[in-house]
This record gives sequence, structure tokens and C-alpha cells, in this order.
Amino acid sequence: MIPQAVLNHETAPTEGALVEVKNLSVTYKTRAGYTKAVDDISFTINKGEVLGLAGESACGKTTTALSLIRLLGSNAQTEGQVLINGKDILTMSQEQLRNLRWKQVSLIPQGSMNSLDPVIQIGNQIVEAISAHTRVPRRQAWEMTTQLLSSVAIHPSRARNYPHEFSGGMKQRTVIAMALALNPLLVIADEPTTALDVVVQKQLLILLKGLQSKLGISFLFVTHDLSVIAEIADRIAIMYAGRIVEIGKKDDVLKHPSHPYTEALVNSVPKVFGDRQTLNSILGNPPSGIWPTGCRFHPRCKYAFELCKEKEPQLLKSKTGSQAACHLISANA
Amino acid sequence: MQVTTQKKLRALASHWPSAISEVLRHRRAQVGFGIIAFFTILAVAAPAISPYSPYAFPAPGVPYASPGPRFPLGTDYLGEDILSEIIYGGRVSIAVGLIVALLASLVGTVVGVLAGYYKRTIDEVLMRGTDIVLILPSLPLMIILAAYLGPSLQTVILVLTVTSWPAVARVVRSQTLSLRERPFTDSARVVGASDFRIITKLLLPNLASIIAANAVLVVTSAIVGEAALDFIGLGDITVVSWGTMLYWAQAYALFNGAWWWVIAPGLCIILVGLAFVLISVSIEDVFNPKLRSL
Amino acid sequence: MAALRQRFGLDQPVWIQFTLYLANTLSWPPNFGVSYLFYPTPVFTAIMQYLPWTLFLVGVSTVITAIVGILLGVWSGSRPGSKFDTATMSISMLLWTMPFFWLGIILLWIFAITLHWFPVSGAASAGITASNPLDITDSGDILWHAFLPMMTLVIASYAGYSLIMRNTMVGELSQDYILMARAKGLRERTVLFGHAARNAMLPMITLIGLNLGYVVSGALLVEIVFSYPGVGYLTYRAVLAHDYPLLQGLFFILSLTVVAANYIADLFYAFLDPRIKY
Repeated sequence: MIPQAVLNHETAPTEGALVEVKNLSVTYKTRAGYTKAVDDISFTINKGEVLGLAGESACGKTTTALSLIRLLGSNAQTEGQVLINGKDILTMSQEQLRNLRWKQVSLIPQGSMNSLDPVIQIGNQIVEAISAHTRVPRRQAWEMTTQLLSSVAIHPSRARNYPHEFSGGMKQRTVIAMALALNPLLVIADEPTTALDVVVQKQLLILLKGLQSKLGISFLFVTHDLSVIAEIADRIAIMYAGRIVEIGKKDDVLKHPSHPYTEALVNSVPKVFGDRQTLNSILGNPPSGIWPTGCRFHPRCKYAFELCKEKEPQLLKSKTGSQAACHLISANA
Repeated sequence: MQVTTQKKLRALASHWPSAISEVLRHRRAQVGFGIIAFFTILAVAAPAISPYSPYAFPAPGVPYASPGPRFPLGTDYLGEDILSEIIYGGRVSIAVGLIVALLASLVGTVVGVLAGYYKRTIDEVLMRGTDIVLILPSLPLMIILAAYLGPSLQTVILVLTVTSWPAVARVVRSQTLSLRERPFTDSARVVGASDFRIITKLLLPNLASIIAANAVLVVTSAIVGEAALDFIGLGDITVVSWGTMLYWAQAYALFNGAWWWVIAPGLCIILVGLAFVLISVSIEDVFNPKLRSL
Repeated sequence: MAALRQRFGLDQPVWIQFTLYLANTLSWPPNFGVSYLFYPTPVFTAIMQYLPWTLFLVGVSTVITAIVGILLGVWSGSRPGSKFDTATMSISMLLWTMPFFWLGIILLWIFAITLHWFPVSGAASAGITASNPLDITDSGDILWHAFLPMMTLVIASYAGYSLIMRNTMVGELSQDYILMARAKGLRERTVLFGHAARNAMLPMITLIGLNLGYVVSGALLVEIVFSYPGVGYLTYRAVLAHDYPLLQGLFFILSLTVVAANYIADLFYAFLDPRIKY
């Protein structure tokens, strides 16, 4: 990997959280009006930890992920605080933001197939990232690039290829290598395995886990696939309709879910072994734009009662130690 | 988002009266239609509106008179009123534009539909011919043809049509190709409809909007082209049109300081051209939402 | 009269004339016959004297037009809907519909006849013996004469490029790899030019090739307005004099040049786009 001395940038805090998100809200302005995609969420990510962010499509996961480095379009209004290593991203100047990007926080985007510039060689795209943030001379940067590619099992001789000459899996691994190039503090991975077949998925997850534990990098891992999250996350946050409905340690959340939605999600994962069962699914569709009154999940929840329609539940500590936003918790407390 | 856009586009394409009203909602299109309406009224009501006849003999005014109360746009080298020339000239220029657009659309559509529908050899042959004409620079081609045919209005119309139909043919062909693969064409063929029926009843109505959009552009280029041919002297210089006005103006106006004689016809050509461009841009805006600015 | 007809081979059957003509054309140097206007100079020689000036005019203005069009397109495309964008688009549309020759007349009138900043006609002042535009010794004078015609061509044709470049840019800027480039913390200038514009430019090259026919037509008209001694001006004189051999030769050479240029543009495109194998 690239020696720390060369990079010469900040290190993670020795104590306290690396990332603190406080009351983050994102509103999109569209032709049809305003949509609040992310509604007042808060969470933290500690040093060296993998936080999995899970939920159905359009629940606000990608918006949350992108807002951490202010990559949302000009039609998005962001409120709240996003503190990375103590500094608020949302109030930084463009120059400070540019410095922080890739050096401290990097991104493995959704659809990495298209995230590589089609007319520039693969190697050069990684070198570009290195050159933009360090004074490393070009030749040395190229050597670092070939080393990076080897670490993700891509032969160095292929650094001169163009993206269309790589398979989907190879492109994904390239983007992963690129994301780790500057030894960042945090990597935001937005559905990095979604577009790939299961075998490649497994390989990638093993690779990511290995690199993550070796380098001690924090991850925000966004996905809708619970089985992937089960492999890689330390803590899990479940999002629904723009809010976090449960957040806690992986085992707590997956084995003893505190929120009905989490429970339904866990139950809907098909079991490969054991007897044949009918698939469980959650009836109805996730809301978009217009939220139901009270708890946003209540129309699809099998435990819903009167209070659920009227009042929106707040995140409270449940029996297992995770936090969940459900009236059942206070009811049982 | 993607799905709704496609649905909307398909709906627009098949119900083009509502598409027209959607287009009209753009300010650009309104300006465009306004300009066209203005010139149409001018052309149609020419005998009533025009103060003099542009062919008046003896000429009503002194040659090269500057714009004034009697001759709002001044006079030309013979003393004829330029405003009258503009009004009558507009008839000719716009008429030429419309006729060429009509003929070119006709020929282009026939060629394009046949090529796109029957594919293979017919397509190859027709498209080779189209490509040849398309690639050749239009003005030299027109000059060569016109030089042999002799200068006249018919020559101008013919020659402009020859250079305008390939563009229409190309567009119609690609649209036909894609329409041909749609389920409704297959179902029509299964039912046993003849080719002729399929083409006329199914394909043509769907092609109408794209033919119209292109025809609009052909009018513009035809008007400019007519002016260019007249300017070189290949049109009928005894007929007053915006192009022939520039022909005479280029010879006499500059060194006699009669700038209004040059500006007036040119401005008219630009305005009409602009009107059609605005309309076509609005049409494109309606059919391609990605380009819209929020 | 009969002697003239015999001299020009016009007394032979048409199909023999045609075959002979083809055979002559395909030899080198191509024999298009003798020009009526410049008798007894062969058509080919006459054309070759005038062609370099047109190539100079069209070549240089195409380059300038492409640069202006691309830069404006990139700039507008990166901020669609802004005041800059709407203003530029409106002006572009206005200029696009302007007939080449009319613009030429206006510019000639303002800058040459009224203000006397530029010469009224010709490629070089009388007394200068420059026979082709590459003659460096008189380049100042040549450029001075070429300025107005070139400006006319550039102003009248840049809009086609800038509008399409703008639209292509808007499309490219919404692509995933641009999001990635921004996430990498690259300067906005690098994102725009190093990535977006680089991809957007590829279709532009094909466009330049396609537009060449159009630009050549425009150059013809501009030459007539400015009495610039290129093939356009030659064509004009040939038309007036009914010099058919000259006209045919001109048409042939011109078309050949345009087709060749298109072919080169295609090759260039294949060379630049790594996704295409040629």
C-alpha cells in the first residue's frame, strides 16, 4: 500500500467516532414539487468499523451515502450536520471539500460499470486520483497503481487497458482498488455487489473484508441485500421511508430484530437449506413522496395498533441493546 | 422516472394535436408562430397592404432614397419602393420554401418508408443514392444543375428539392425501421393486412410528427437556399423575391450607400428562419426532456 | 463555328463524349478539357490555381469554428438553464439562420467599405506576387485579406457546433463516471475538460466531417461577396460565362475533396475512440 509518510494526511481519532451524522435531512426539488428523501437521521461510524445501511429501494440510502461527501445534485437541499473527523462537511469550502474527497473519504459508487471514463486507460484513472492529491511523481504513481491492481487480483499488465476491455467484476475491483489508493479513513460503498453474479459477489466480499481488516478502514456499506450485510457489517442501520427505524450491532439486529420491518426483512430472505417453504414477503409497497401519518411503516405492519397511526415513534433503546423506532418498545418497557 | 418519460413520449407522439399544444406553451414557439403569422398575413394580403407595386413603371421614387415617410424602407436603384418589394417578395420566397418543403417531404418520405420497410436490397440501393446526394456539397450541386437547366423559378424549386429530400429520407427511414419492429406492425401483418395498408394506415400517421418537424427545417433551408441561388444569378431575376433583391443590392447598393436595401431582405430571411428554428427547438424540447433546464 | 465544335469534341455522339470524359478524368493529371473562359488553359490547371485559396479559407475557418463552438458548448453545457446558457443559445440560433452571403455583405460593408479597416477584395494586394497562401513572405498581407471572409464563415457556422456540443455535454455530465470524477476530488475544470468534454467531442468530429459540404457551400458564397480568388469565385465566373467544362471539373474536384475529408474525419474518429477497432 502507499506508505503513510508519502500521504502525510490526518489520521483517525484515537477515541470518539470518526463520522457523526446529526439530524441530516435531504430534500429534492423536482418538477412535481419537493420530496424529502432523508428525514432527520442521525448515526455514527467508529474507527475501523463497518456500518451497514440497509433498506428497500428509494428509502434514502444512496442519498444519505452521497450526502456524506456532498455529491448530491444542485436540486438537493441538505440540512443538519455531517462531522467527519470533527469537521462539518456541509459547511466546508469547495477547496477544503476537494481536499477531503478521496484522501479521507472515498466512494465505491453504485453501478461501477459506468463509473470509469470510457476513453481513458484504467491505470491512468487511478494515477489521476493519486496525482490530484499528492506530489507523488508520475512514475511512482504508476508503480503504486500496479501494486494496487495486484492487491485486487488484476494483473499489472492490464493497467493499460480501457474499461470496455474489462469484465464487470474486474471493473468493480478496479474501482475498489482506486477507492483504497490513498488509504482513506472512510470508504462509502454504495451497493458495490448488486450488479454482479453471486460467485463474483462472494469473491468481492472476501476481498473487501480482507482489505478492510488489514487496513483498518471504516466503511459505510449501503445495500438492499441482507445476506451481503450479514457477511461484512459490524453494526447495521435499517432505513425505511427516509428514516432510520433500527440501528445496532449486527447480531442483535439480525438475530433478534427489535423493529417489525427488520423482522419482516430478515424473514423474507430465502433459506437455501432446510425444507421448502413459501417465500415470505412484505405486502404493499414502500411509500414515496407522501408519507403515511404516524409511523411510516404502519400500513404494512402486522403488529400495528391505534397509536401507530397517530404518532411517529422515536428511536428508543430496546431489550437487545439496539435502538429501534417502534411503539412496541415503549409499550413493553 | 425513465418509464414515465417513455410513456409520455409515446403518448405525445401518437396524439400530436396535444403535442402541438404542449409545444405552444413554450415562449419560444409562441414567438416563432407569431413571426410566421405576421409574414403569412403580409404575403396573403399583399395587394391590399403594399403601398405600391414593386414592378411599377414609371418607378414611384428617386433611386437610392433613404427611408422616409413616403418610402419607409427607402428605394432601390430604379426608384421602386423597397417595402413593397419586401411584401411581394415575401410571397415568392415563402411560397418557394413551402413548395420545396412539400415536394422534398413527399419524395423523402416515399424513399425513406420504402427503404425502411422493405430493407435489404431496396434499402441498400435507395440509401446509396441518398448518401451520395447527402454527402455532396449542396450549393455546388445546385449550381451545376441550375447552370444546365437555365435560370428560372422552376429550376430553383427543382434544384432545392433535389438537395433537400435526402435528409428527410434518412430520418424517415430510421423511424420506419424502429416502427417496423413494434408489436402493432407484426399483429397487423398476422391479421393479413397488405403492405400498402400497413404503410398508409399504420406507419404514416406515426411518422407524421417527425416528417412535420423535418419539413419545418426544410422550409428554412429552402428560403435561404433560394436566396443564395438568386444571389448568384441562377434564379429568375425579373421576379421580385428576397433573394433577387439581394442580387441587385449586391451589385448596386454598397457603393451607393443604400444599406437599407441590403438589410431589409436579409432581416426578413433571418426572421423567418429564426421562427422555424424556434419552433423546431421547442418541438425537440417537448420530445427530449433531458435537455430541458429545470 | 463548326471548327470550334470539332475542337471541343462536341460533334461526336454523346455516349462517346461521355466515355472519353470518364477516361480522361481518371487519368493523372485529370483532363477535364479546356476551359472556355480561360481558353486555352486546361480546366484542371485553372482549378488548381484557385483551389489553394479555398482550402486555406475553409481549412483555417473550420479549425477556428470548431474551437469556438466546442468551448462555448462546454461552457453552456456545464450550466444549462443559466443566463449565460440562454443568452448564448439565443444568439447562436439567430446567427445560425443568417445566410452566409448576407453576413458577408454586412461585414464587408461595415468594416471594409465604411471603416476601411480591411481590404474590399482579393486575397493579396496588387503587386504582391504570392501565388499560394503558404507563401510566408507576404503572410501578413494574406491574413489581412483573409480576415473578413474567415470571420464571416466562423460567425455563420459556429452555432451548429456549439448547440450540439452543449446538448452532448449535458448528456455526458449526467453520467456515472462524472460523479466518480467529482468524488475523486478533481478540480471542476479537470472534470469538465479532461473527462466530460473529451467524451462529448467524439461525435463532434463526425459532425465536422458532415458539415464540410455545408461549409464549402458557404465558402463559395463568401468568396463571391469578397471577390476572393478561390474555387467559389471561379464557379461564379464559370456560371456567368456558361463554361461547362470548367463547371464540371469544379464540381468533380469539389465533391472529391469533400468525400475525402469525410473519410479522413471517420478515420480520425476511429483513432480517437478506443472502443472502435479499425
